Amino acid sequence: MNSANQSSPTDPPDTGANPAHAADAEFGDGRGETFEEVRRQILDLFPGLADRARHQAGEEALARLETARLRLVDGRLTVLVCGEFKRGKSTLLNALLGETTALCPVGTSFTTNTVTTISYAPEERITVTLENPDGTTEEREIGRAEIARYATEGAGPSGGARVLSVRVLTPNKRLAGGLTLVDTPGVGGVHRDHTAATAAFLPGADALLFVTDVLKPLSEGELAFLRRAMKAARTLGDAEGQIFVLNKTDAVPDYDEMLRNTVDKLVRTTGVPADRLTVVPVSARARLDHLVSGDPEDLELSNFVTLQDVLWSALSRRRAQVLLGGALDALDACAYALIRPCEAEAAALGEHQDEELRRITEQVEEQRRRLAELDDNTSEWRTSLRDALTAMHTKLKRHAQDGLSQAWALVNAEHLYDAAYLENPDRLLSDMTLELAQLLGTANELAAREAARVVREFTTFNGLKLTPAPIGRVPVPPVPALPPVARPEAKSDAERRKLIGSSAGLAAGSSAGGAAGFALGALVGTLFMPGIGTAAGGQWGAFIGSALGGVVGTAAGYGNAGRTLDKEQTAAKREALRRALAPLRKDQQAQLDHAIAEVVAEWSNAVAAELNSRIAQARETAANEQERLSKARETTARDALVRRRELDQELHELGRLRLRIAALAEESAGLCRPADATSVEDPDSADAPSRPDDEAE
Amino acid sequence: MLKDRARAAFDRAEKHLPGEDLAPARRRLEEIRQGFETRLRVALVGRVSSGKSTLVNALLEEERVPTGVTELTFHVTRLRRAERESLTVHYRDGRPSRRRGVDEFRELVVQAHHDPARQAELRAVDWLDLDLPSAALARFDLVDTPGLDSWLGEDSARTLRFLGRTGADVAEATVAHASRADALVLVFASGLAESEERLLEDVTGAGLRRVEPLTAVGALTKVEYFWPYCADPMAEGRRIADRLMHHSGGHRTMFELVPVAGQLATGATAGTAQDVADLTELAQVTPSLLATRVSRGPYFVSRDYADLPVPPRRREALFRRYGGYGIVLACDLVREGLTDRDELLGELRRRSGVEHLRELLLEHFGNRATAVKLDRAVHEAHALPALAAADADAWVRWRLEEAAEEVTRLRLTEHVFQELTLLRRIYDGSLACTPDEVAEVLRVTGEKGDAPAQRLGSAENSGTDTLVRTALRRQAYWAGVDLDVARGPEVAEAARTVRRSYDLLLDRIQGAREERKEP
Repeated sequence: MNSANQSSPTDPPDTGANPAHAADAEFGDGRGETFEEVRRQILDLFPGLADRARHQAGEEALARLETARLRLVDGRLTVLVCGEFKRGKSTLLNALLGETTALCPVGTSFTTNTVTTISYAPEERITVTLENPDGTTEEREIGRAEIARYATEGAGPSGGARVLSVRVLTPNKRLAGGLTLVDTPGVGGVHRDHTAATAAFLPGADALLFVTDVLKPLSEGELAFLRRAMKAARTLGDAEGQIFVLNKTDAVPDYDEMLRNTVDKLVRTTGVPADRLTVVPVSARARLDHLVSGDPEDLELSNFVTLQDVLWSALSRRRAQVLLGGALDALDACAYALIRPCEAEAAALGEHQDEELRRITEQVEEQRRRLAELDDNTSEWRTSLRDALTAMHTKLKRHAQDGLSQAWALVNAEHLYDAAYLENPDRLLSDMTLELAQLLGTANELAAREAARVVREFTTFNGLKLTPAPIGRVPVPPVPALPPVARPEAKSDAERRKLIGSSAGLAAGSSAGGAAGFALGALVGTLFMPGIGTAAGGQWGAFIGSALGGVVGTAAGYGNAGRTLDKEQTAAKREALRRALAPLRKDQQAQLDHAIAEVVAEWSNAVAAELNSRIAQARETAANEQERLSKARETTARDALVRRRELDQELHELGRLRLRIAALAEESAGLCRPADATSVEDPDSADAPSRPDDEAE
Repeated sequence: MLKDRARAAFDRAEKHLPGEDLAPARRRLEEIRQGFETRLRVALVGRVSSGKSTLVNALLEEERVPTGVTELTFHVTRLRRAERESLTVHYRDGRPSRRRGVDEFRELVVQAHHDPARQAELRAVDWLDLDLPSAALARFDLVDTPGLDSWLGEDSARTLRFLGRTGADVAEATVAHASRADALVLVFASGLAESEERLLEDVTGAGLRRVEPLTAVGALTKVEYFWPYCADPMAEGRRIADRLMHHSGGHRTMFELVPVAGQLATGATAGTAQDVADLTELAQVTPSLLATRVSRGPYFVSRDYADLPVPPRRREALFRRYGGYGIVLACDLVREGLTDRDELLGELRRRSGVEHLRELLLEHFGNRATAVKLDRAVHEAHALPALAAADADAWVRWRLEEAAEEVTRLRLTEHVFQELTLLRRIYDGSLACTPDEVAEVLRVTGEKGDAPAQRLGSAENSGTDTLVRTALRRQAYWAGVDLDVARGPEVAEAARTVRRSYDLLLDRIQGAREERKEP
């Protein structure tokens, strides 16, 4: 483990004045606070630069700047909290948030049975999404005290409505930087659609906290969940990004043996060697006690200092970098767009005016010609882009089909011979639904990364970089943010529903399937909220959700078919089940192909829009330069002196701004350092296979 | 006596089954009769690691059954009362059962790990009979079953492979032995499922023979882990048990659900004088400080604290034996003045809920043993005619039906069956009776014991006249209920059954009086 282990419980207490403990008393968020501080400072840079850009740069530069700002403002760092029932997930969330009045309902006799997302807003607002018996959904605002009634097993509102999700917006300072916590129901699979939603969302989450405890060893159900989660993580090159939390360390005399048992099982299940697994023993209860008592011993036992550090380290590996890096990139590009015309003008006003002026003018004209060519609809790169996107589509499709084939191969070779599945075909269907959900989620995440790669390649190849060199030491974000693209012909919900209905219609119980899909769309939609993923979130979620819903509905149809086979003999039952399942595989394949086509279409739009926008900004800058040059040409020698002084001032200010941006980039890079000295592996090399194109930058 | 009349019925039934043709039926009848004659058998069922074995040990007041995931917990163990301790091993492969020393068997399990021959023997083990000279087994045998889960985690998988079993085998054995038992203790561990409702489904869906309040009670185990989340975990356990019984339909499955802190109970049973001395020392500490220290388990057992009088090593022993809640509770009791070892440990046992469970088993199963066993025998006898082969001739069929009839007729002639019907109605909530009336029905039908005073709820030493007066007064009350049209025909029928119960009780009291007069 990454020395996330707290000191052995048999160590004597620290009696001397330990400075670390003194700091603990003022326990903050460590890296989380640094992140928030850097983010705030970056945001502070926007208004000033936007002002300058408004006067001196073009519309596109301004628009890109504003988009970048909004993306940082709306940007979410999502932490998915998973685990089996009764492991203390909700207590852990309350403890992470530092909420003494439970925000996530906790109790001895019930468990959370809905997806709850918690993020920041200046005023508390809690919204539940309900599914009515007729399949329609409605939203309802509730108070904090009512959450338990809506979000827990054995509770629920009256009138037969089912709770799909709970969305909590709350003025908690720990969330102010965009941290979003997602509490999921148990991994057991009783709530098929919630589990499917979790599986679909998992590949896109920025960090996974897997909660277990020292009272009961990891169960088969938990290991099955992890096995599946690891498949996606490996595909995405993030096999070591999971954080395993061993909760309730306060309840036992010592947990060494349970820790060993847990690590052993995790090593066997995930294939990650023990020294690279992150297992953090914690006591969420002690942390909550600490909030009240302030006793350092509570904090020490809770081990939350380590947990938060590990958590932010995981977040920084991916999204925190992307969020901050993306904004800094945009700032720098804008500053550079302002500097170039100034430099051109200043040079033109210099001593060897004529010669210099002619050279610069030629350069600018050449640049404008090149850009105009690039902008042309018949330009060659557009054809290559289409090819690249087609290749991306093929790659995604092949990956997804491989995944599906593997899953079905397992069904045919093993599951159908396993009494546990034969006796309970429902479980087989749940499993297959989860597989598909995860393939969809993975495809979405892969598409985002592929799209980013395409943008990088085309930017480099066509000279569309907006700055001469990358700023600071910020590692290249694996997923550069793309501008959200408004979909002009966004499908209406009714249409989506029709879409699902038609494919689920192959199975019995299809009408119910369609309705479930609609509700699930709403559920996943709340997960993929705007800014959460790599592109426009909400629509995505709705789409993936509805595709998934079709699958869940389809499976529900087969579930009924499976049950009628109960009385038959094993071999006959196996054959019957195999036959019954055959069309499901076709359905799944169709769902998957369809979903991937949609995903690719969406990203293709985004990629084209991004490249066009880059061309537009470059053209603007060039036009600006040219204008300045003609202005310089008409300047008299006396005016030139004044003008040059103005330009020097301007360039000096912009230069300082760029230094400031570089300094902030340095600070964000610092966030990314590993959580501790033992896991010195370079965060780049850890997931290098997923982005072999880094050198291209 | 009911038992004699039942025996006579069996005798008559046997006479209907002469000759070689009917030998199989005769053997079946004998089995049914044996089932009726043997002592009541109570099986504990629940998921793997729901705390069944801990509960058995707590009930026995000694640690006789292995706990934790070991090879031994995957065997069904029947515990019976005997003069001397012994263990009988029953095999699956037809070899004769063998009597072995208890330690000898443990040794076998250990040795089997490197000895293939012993391993083969271990694999052939079907179930174990453990005879113990334990007072706790005076009224019924206990059966400890491995678990209902047909699908076990990999922790168990290795052990199971070693034993040559699968999860399905284990679940099958559990269901088989539980179905052979006369009564069940359903064991639910809080924390083993999303909700206790799901645990309830486990039991109702396990394919056990009819599970009903007449023959099933429940235990909600591992309640002590609610501490320190709840200051009074037992109260929290009661609240959950209550909800499960009354809002989730548990009352249709079991008579009562008792919250139990099994670890505390076993701890208290094995408590030493040193423990009590240490607890007394710890009781000097301010309760809130003590609770804080104990709630930090790993530190409580390892760190030096100037404000705790007992050294870490001893604290660790206490923690392992009584758990965090046990220590805090024991110190509370010491502060209330319970410093005598037996008194303190006895009170801890009482608070753990185990004593209540034991009383419940005695009352609900022990006192009704005959009725429960007869009900079952009649039920089984009813199926006798089904033994006839499809092509059996009319004579054989007629014989079988006659034999069955001899036993099943008891249903009509014995009032106890009317009582059982009445009880079933009460348990399923279909009778609109007041709580007092319900309590009275349970009592008069023998829940609190068979003696007239117990059935009447009178003091043990009440004179015959008092008993007669009480019975007559209650009979008059139920006559009123019978006549109350507003209460509906079902209640009226119930009232007639109760009145008849009092009639029979009065007969018994009078009979006893005349017996005394005669000499």
